[in-house]
Amino acid sequence: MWESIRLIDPGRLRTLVNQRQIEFVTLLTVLTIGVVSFVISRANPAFSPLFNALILGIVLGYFVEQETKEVAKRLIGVMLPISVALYGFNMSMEPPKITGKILAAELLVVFTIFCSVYSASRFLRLGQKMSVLLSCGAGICGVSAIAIVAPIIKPRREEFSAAIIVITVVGLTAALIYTSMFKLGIVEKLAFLAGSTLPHTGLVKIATSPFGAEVESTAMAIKAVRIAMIAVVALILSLFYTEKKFYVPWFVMAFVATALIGSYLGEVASPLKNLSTILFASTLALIGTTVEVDEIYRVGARPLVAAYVGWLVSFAVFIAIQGEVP
Amino acid sequence: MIGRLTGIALLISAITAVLSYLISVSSLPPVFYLYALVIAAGIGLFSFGSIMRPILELKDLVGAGTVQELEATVRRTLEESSARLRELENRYESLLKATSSFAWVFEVEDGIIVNSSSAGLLGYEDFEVVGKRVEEIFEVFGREAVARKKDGSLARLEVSSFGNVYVARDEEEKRKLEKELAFLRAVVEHSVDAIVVTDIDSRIVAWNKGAETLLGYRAEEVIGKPLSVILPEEERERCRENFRRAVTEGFVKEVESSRITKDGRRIIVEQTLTSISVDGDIVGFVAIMRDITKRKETEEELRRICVELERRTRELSEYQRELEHLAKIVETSNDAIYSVNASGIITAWNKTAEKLFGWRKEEIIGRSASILLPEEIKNETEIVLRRLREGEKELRFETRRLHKNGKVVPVEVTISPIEPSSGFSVIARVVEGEDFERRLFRFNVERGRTYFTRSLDVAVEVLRDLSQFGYRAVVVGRRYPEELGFDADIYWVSERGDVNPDVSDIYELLIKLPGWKNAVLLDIDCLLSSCRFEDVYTMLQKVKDAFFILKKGVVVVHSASIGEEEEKLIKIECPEVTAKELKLPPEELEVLRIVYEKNRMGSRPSIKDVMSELGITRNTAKKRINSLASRGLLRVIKDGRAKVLEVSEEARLMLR
Repeated sequence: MWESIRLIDPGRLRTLVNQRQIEFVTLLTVLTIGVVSFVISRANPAFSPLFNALILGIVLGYFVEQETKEVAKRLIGVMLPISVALYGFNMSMEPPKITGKILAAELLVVFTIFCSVYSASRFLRLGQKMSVLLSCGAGICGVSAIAIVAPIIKPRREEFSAAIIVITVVGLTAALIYTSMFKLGIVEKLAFLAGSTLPHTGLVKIATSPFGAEVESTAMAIKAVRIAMIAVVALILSLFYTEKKFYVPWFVMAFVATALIGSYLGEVASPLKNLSTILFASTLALIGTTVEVDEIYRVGARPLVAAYVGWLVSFAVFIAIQGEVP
Repeated sequence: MIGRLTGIALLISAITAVLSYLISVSSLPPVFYLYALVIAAGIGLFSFGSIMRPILELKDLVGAGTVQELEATVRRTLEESSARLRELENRYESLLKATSSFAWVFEVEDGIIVNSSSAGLLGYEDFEVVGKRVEEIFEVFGREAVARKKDGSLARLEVSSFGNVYVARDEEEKRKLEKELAFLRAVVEHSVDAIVVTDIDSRIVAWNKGAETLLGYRAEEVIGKPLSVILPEEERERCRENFRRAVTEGFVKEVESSRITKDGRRIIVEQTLTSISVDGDIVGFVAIMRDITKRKETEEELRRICVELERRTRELSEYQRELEHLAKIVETSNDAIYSVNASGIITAWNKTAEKLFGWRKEEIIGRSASILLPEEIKNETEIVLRRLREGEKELRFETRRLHKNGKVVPVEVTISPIEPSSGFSVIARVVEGEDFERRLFRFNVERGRTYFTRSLDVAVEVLRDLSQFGYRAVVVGRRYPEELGFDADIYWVSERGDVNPDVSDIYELLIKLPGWKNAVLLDIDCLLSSCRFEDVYTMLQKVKDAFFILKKGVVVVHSASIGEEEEKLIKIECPEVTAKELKLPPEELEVLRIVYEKNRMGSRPSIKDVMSELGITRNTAKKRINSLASRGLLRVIKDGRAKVLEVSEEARLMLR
């Protein structure tokens, strides 16, 4: 017994014990952040729990030591695929509850957002991965889409964080302006506009809820189509970004599977949805911990410009086709 | 910078103001002010980042520190920059040197060459052209120039200008190089070997036709992708190691390595990986691969065949040794061994067979096996072959064989089939002993015994039979050789004959017969004419005792003329000769009897006669006839086109 213990270098043993302690404390902290972020998002749906967790993680990262950041980086490798796999419970894969014409118009707008954001990003000489992140975030379902796509295309952490903040800022701007314009009577068909152009579900809610449950539910039905698109996009991107041929990472397959299971279970899966959201938020907090603030703002205003361009183009398309939308 | 920051501040303020105005005008809930703040903060954050980036980079460069540290950092940066510049300069010079054979770089100021590098193109040293006017060197100066070389000859040059710096290239040399390049490109492109060029990060930059054929990918599919697309998982570490070795050693030859084709097949290639270096810096790698899958498969097949061949050769050697051993055993066996093929021809013959039967190997091989059979069992070979064909595995029986000199050799034979329908081998062992002889005799006779018979035929048959077992046939009486039908020593009984018709002389003659195997036919009819029966009877008693004690042979007493009383008396001393009984099934005996009766009447019946006589079918008749023939009791003889039947002597005796 003593012989075997003496074989271990005491310094290494201490390091191992410390590492385990740090891991435990870090996990506990980010889980707490996850829960807090989830509660905040419930209080105000404008801020996605993932966005909240990322911001809180960045704030936490400002105070922790480098050793903790290294531990967090290791934990991300484990937690991120699991979180993505389970986050499928939040994705609705139900058949669209909208008419074919609305669906066609929505697909046109989404396609426009994709193309315009990607083109603007590339024009502004942003990296391909950043451009894909912004396109997915703006076109599909905001922060969730970015978080799901990130482990597939593997961007740098600051790109990932910047993309989340950019999409949230642009989404908030759009939500605020849509609400004002609708109140002032400048635009009609707010449900379609919000459902097809606003990045994440919370923003659709805050933009439409002041105008009654019907507008909100219509907007959410339109938004549901875009949410469902994430599974398809994740699969396509897996095929593009893998080194092997016809290989889809396990967590993408698991994500699709949990999305199908969640859709099948319906309301029964509600606790699973909340738990998976908290877990994903905790993972985002971990990512935030590893990112330096100056790394984020060094990314510069180009992603922001690209996202705004995409939004403006999609808005222009909406203006052009709003007469055709039922 | 401050102006930009101020601008950003104004922009954010403007955005906030506009958004706040919108919120208030639209009477949106107060929480929207929070959103406006977040938006403004976000825009501010990234705009600040855009403006501050150069400053931050500078800050990173110099780091936070004292003036001395800053000075040290600046000095270090300057030194690094100088080193970099020197390196670039060296590279530039190396490049010029490398291109000196086909390019000349010079600077012109007011028509005079002021600076030059590598004027070797025209044969001049640099100092020889600096300071000269352009016209002194060039006959024609322009894009397509003509220059005078140092040796006086003219050279056509292509001149490009970059400001007042000119680069002159030898057009002929250029064309030659282009031709060489095109030639090399064609060689690379149409090489049957796969040639793949990668950059320093092992990303594919060139992919020839051979690679397309070998690996299935078209060039546009793989250019820019990592080399790992064609590597199996387990080969990747080895590949990395090869790249490392290629960097340090220049090239690595891989004798055997696996690759994955576009359709997922795994092929085996022989690869040479060579690093491409320019001025000592590795800029990429070239991998030349040759498909050796077929070769490997063939090698594997050959190896397998070789192993199989070795195994079979070993087996054959073992068989050969075994056969040689067996041949030695056969050759030196104490038993006579010979083999007979399906046609009844002798094909093998050992030394003991030579001794036993008197035939030398070279004499007997190729002859019919029936040459070894006495007359009465001539059809034995045929019967043996038939029984073997019917599936009998081994036959063992006592029989007789003829020596070359005509003597009968009693043997015990073991017959085994060699292969189905390809003959048989015979192991013949000489059987000694009276019991055996006696078993083979056709009559119930025994050496040392005296017998009586009224039939001369029977007496003669007994002698004939015994003579085949090495007995000396002796006839004492008045019989001519013609009556006997075989060779025998005849002692004529008469006053002027070989022996007097006196019982004492006859007794003396018989007692003094040489050897121990005498078959004596004693005809007492000629004695009875001159001697009393009592004397003859007494002589017979004495002969009987002497032969019994001395075991001199067999005596058969014959008389056709004695009365019944005398016969009875003689039979008390000398039992009557009887043929051995054959145990025959009654139905076969019936057939034999019919044939015998017909034979006695001078005709030979056909199978059809037997069928009609007994009212049986042809198959049944044939079966019975074959059985009798196999016992040597019946012979089937060809009479023209018909087959007729005849009983053998043995059967005749038996039935008599």
